[in-house]
Amino acid sequence: MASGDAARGGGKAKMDAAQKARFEQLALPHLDRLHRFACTLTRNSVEADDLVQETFVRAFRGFASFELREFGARPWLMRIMYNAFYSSIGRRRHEPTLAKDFDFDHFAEELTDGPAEPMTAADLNWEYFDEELKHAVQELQVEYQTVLLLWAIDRLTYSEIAEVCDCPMGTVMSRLYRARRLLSRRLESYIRDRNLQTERGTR
Amino acid sequence: MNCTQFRKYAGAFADGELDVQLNLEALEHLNMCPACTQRVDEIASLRSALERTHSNHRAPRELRDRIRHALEAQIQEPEPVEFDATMAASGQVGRPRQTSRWLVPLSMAAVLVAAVSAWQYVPTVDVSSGTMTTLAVRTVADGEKSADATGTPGRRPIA
Repeated sequence: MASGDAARGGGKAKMDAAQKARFEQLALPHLDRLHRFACTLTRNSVEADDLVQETFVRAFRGFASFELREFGARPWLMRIMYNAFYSSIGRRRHEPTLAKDFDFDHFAEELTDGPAEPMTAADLNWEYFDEELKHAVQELQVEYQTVLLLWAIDRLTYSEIAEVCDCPMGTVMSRLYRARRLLSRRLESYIRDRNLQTERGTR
Repeated sequence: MNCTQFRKYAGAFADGELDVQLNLEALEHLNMCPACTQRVDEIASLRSALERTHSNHRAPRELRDRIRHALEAQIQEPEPVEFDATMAASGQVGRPRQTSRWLVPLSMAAVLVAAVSAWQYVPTVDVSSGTMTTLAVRTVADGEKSADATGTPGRRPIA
């Protein structure tokens, strides 16, 4: 992502102020979502605030080369945040390269044989499990939590999530599948441990 | 498509990520399979539950102002450090250049003078009417000249 040119003289500063206004109009509406994403990544509110600020500064510097039609604003900002986070912890974010076209048969190797099993032990009324669901999500590894919440909260497509996380689409789908399964098993344990009875409703 | 095959596609189907052909095949299977239908419903239900429990997140109020100030600092920063071979040789790489405080206003003045002198006022004579019209001719970057008639105010009779 190309960085913007430095200000040179009064005329350039005027243009940058206008760009700042445009950038704020484009980016600040996504602040809450970005902060949530930062909390997911850092698991620390202070670091999350710093990460959000760093993200906005980096994005502003690269704003001159940003084209809205190519990239939605929120995935673009999230990608910057994701890169900034993993740069800060010195972790390589690059996954092994797989084919861009996702191979469902390759993905299916992860599935066990047998009939389709329900994700949960019963028809759950999710309202009873809001708090438990939050805890279960918090306990997921950050890679799973990231993909899960980008899918559920930000409603990103698989390809958009892959762009944000700079990983193949197959990795996104695999992590999403595992995250859902982990949540399901966690909630099954919750139900079993508390001996909760649920009513099976008709669908 | 049987249940085992559908399981490969259940998540992608629920998320609207299948191509047209696979989507049709999945729908045909679901029409006959309550268990797989329930699986799809649960994926959608989970998504709704996650959205409900996590989408009310709000950033701290002061963070918005903090970001605005940080962005403001980006457009008020001094000239970035420029690499200077001479300074590098003397071990002074990384020090910002010391620019004269008069340099910017003088530069701007020079630009204005250049801009004005680039407009050349060329008088032309209209023989038929016996008047002289002043044309403002702008010298463009590639050296070609374009002419815009300034019209009546420039006209004066030839003596």
